[in-house]
Amino acid sequence: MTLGSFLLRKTAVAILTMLTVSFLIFLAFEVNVADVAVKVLGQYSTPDQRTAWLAENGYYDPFVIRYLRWLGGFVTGDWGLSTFFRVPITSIVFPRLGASALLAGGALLVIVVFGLGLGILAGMRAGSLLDRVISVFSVITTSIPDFASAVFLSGIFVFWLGLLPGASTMISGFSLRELILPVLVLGLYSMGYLARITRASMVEVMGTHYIRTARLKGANPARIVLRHAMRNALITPVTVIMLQLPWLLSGVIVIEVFYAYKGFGSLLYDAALNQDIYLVEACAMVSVLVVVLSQILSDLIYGWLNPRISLGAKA
Amino acid sequence: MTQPILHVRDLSVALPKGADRPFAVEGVTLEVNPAEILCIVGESGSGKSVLTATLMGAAPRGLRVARGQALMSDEDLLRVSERRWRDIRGKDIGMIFQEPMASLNPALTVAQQIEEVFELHSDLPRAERQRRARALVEEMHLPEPDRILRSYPHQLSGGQCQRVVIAMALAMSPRLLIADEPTTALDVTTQAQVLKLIRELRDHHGHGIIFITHDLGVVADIADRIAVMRQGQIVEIGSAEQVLKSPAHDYTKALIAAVPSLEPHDRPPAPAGASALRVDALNHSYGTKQVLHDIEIDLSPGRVLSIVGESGSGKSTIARNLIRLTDPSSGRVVVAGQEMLALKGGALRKMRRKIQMVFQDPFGSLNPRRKVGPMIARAAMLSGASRAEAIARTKDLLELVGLQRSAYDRRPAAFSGGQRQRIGIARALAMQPDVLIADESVSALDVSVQAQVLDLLADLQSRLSLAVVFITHDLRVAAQISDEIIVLSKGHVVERGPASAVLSAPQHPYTRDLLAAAPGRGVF
Repeated sequence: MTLGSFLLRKTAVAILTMLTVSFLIFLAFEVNVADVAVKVLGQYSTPDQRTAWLAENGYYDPFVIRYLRWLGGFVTGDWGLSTFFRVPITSIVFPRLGASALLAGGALLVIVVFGLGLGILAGMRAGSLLDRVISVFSVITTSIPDFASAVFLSGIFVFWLGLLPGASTMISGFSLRELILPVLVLGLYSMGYLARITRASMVEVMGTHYIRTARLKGANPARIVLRHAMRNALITPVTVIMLQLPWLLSGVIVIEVFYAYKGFGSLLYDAALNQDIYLVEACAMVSVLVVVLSQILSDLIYGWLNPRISLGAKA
Repeated sequence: MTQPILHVRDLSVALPKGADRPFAVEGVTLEVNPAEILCIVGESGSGKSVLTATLMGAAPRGLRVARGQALMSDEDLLRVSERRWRDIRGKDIGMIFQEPMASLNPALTVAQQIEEVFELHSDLPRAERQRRARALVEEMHLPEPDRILRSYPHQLSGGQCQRVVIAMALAMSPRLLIADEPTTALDVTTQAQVLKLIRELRDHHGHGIIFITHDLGVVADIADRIAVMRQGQIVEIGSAEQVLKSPAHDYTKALIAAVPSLEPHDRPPAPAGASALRVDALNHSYGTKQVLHDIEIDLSPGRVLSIVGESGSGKSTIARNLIRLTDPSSGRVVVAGQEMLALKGGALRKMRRKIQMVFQDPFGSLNPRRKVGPMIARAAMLSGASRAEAIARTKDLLELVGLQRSAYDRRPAAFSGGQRQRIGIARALAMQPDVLIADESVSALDVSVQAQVLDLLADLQSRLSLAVVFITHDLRVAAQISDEIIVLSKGHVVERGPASAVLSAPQHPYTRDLLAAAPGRGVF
């Protein structure tokens, strides 16, 4: 299968997924018209006001028509007004998404660089002192959930050592210092997890016949690890990284709220808290889109790592 | 007299404390001369693989060279540094392994893997490396060299992979080549080709070759000299002619006697009467690929039918269809007068006990956590015996298959491969089946053990009047046990008949090829 047709097929599947999910989202939020009116107009609106508003905005049309209209709006970039922030939704979602991408990107960097790095180091020589130190460290980091490590790390770096700010509002513009703690907390858990997976995979690969072949060809240890072992050992960890991407999205909510970081996660949180129905819908759609796109990406990386998997052979 | 390439003197490798013997290899002395193939023969656990791993400086962890020398051009291989080893490996000593497919890196192309040897041991420019890699692939008689070079290992067959591994081992024209069971995982016809290739290497390039194998047939085909190993020691070493024709040591004699002959025994013709197993027009497809074409079998009680074929011929698919692990696309399977394929649920479970299977892998097919006795007794109870009956029957069966009654309370880990295969047989028999299917049931065993298990099967089969379907790739084994033989190629039965007729007067060219490829034909 060529790359083009692979992408075409994956995109088709992605679109189908988006359609299904969008329908479910719409069904969940807007099947009960009276509820929508209460959420948009507030609890203290009169029944007359609500009826008038519903009629005016076409809410008495059949469900399917309303869905298609809503979907059309989404595709063309008309995502409606946020009832809480009183601005067009697109004008807040995208900047916030950017801010979260920065946070999640930073965390991903920590996860990939340290998770893979430590895992490979540990797995190169199973049972060595280095292996044991790294293994203990990764068990510790995976044993602490993000909301707890947020508290611990803040306790140490903010209140005890006073090195870092405790909130990351970025109120006076971008600040790298304010980014350090949230990135660390977000990355730590998955990093340890990834390190353990990578280690196990590396240990397995180092015991295979083809690594023995490489040794008996006269390859030195560095070459054996870098050229022969690593690519084969990365197949499992890469799956894990890709599965972590959607997970990062949920981690983002906890971390952003904890550090008062103005990102996508805290936006979703505010929207849910304030019954901002259109904003919640938009956030849900964006989240699903991120997941779907990350899966396509992971399939592509997979095919490159493992020539035995022809692209999309088992989609 | 030429100088030997390798001279091993009084080499002993110590096992860790608490092992079943103090030394894995003990007091081994041998020489390898240029243009000579030295075969090291031994059964599992004889120390032959530890010996060669030590000679490559890659002994498994926990093993320690206790004493001795391995001289190659006055350099003692047992005392060189890891850094020096990296120069020697691949350049002075090349190695070929048992698992060709697993020995190649799945993520690199053949070209990358062969060229790497030049990268490691020479300053050749890229273009020259590529040219030489291609030349090597051609020399290995691989078809379409350019396609092979671009391929990944999973795109090649086992035989092709082995040639690639050999090409890699030969890239720097090492003086010494160590081949550890290089053809064991290959089909006989492929094996014959690889053996021919290795003989060519000896003749044209003058490599000294250490060839390790458990298969005396292969030894007879390829060895110039033979060393027989047992329990870490060389019990006999000498020219091939001398060791095979007039062995001095009793162990060597026993090994040679255990090689199954290609001469079939005389068997009475099939008795008339109802058949135990009938298969009509059996077809099987995986997706659009048809792997079995109109298979017909008619087997009377007390008879043994061997299905012989190479890997991919469909012989295991037949076994799976017979016990309905998979369902055929079409056809009829009749066991003891019952049509099997029509049955479902409880009726099928009831019929299944009539047709039982003994598997290939004596280690994987027994649950390591369960005691042997209860495992067999459970099978007996499934066939309707009461608890007391089942236990009594189990103890009888253990004795019948040549184990002690005390085996009842032990777990599989306490038994050797051959003993486990006996347990597997006892478990199958506990159901009191009419038909026993043995899928490569002796191919994982050493020759001497193989002979015992074959004797056991023959004995049980005549005593219990079992119909046995014996699936094997090994013509020698088939010759020993069969009344009738079916030769299977690419899902088609190409030849069938009484064992003596098929083996002594094969009609189909494929059967003749198989027979011609059987190693050690001239000797055993």
